[in-house]
Amino acid sequence: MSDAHSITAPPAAHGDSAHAHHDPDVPHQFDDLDQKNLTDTLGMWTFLATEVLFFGAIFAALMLYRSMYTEAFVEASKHLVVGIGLFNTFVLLASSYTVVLTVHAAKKGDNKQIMVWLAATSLLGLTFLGMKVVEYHKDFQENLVPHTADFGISAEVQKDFDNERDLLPTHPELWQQALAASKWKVPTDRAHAGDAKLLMQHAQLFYVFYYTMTLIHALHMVIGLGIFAFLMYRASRGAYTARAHAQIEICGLYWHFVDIVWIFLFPLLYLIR
Amino acid sequence: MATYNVVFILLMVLLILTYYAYTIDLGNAYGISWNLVVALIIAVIKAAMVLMIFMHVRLNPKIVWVFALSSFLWLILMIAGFENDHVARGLDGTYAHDTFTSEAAAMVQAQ
Repeated sequence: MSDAHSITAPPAAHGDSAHAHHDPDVPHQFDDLDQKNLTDTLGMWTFLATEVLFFGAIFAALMLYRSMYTEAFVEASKHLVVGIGLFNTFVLLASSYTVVLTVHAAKKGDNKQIMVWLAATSLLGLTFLGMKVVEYHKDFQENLVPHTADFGISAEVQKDFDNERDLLPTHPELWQQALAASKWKVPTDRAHAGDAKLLMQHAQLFYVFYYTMTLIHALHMVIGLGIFAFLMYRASRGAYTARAHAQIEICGLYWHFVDIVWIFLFPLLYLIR
Repeated sequence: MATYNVVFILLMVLLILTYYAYTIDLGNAYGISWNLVVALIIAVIKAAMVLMIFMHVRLNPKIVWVFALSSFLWLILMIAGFENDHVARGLDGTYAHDTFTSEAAAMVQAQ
């Protein structure tokens, strides 16, 4: 387990006893620094494993409904703004890179560098959240909110119709026309009104998944930003050294995991064809 | 340090590849959406690179590999189980050609 790596050797100060000398960086329950670091890493991975189960369950449900209602999910996915999703993926991958640079700085014990790269990561995280807000605003303008009566009929199209109450499934032809005008591939004849209704219900299910998954992911990001703020505060106090920076490493693991979740979320939500 | 830069550039390349794979329609041969397969393969490669190199799992003792990878393995088993169950119900005619009795086949064909 402990290789002869000089950085984990305890400081040679104490000239005392036969039994283990006290290493100030290693709390008493651990044998040595290597064991402490491994314990910290395994502890964080245990938590990340539970997060895989958490997100994984929703992913599994999404995949199942996608194979059941493929047509509706393809249609619904077309209304998401792929450009924003692509930009957000790029932002998150860049933030993973800055986290790696943070850990690199921590290994050198350079607290100032740690603060710089943590700030960069936080900025990228805030950019991601900002773009999410922009994206949700666009989605609301297109009325892509599940469980509303006029789901899918964008605000612009609604202006062309005199009476809001015409845009309900109870008035099939007008409703279908409004949907077609909002770029939904639904049948526009009265005979297939039932098919249109079913398609739109399944599309609403897609949007339930979309909002649930992206909001839970955004919540994880906000928590990550809070954690980074705390780490920046500690770094400003000079808390991290080349030997004792486990906190930075394991919080970095958390942020990388949030990035991995998004790496899978992006194609499975935005790129369904 | 150089490794991190290379990995970052590779991640960007894979991201661009994801986008181009999305613009090409790969069809539905054998009932499998090949766009999905390609998108997932690229996503797995990206995740593996972040996992192994950015998260330093590659440099960690094997016990960390077990903790890190076992949850993903379970996820694959769960999704495989879900899909197996869904297909086996035969409700959307995916395996119409596999039904053995003529009545069952007629029922599925009628969907």
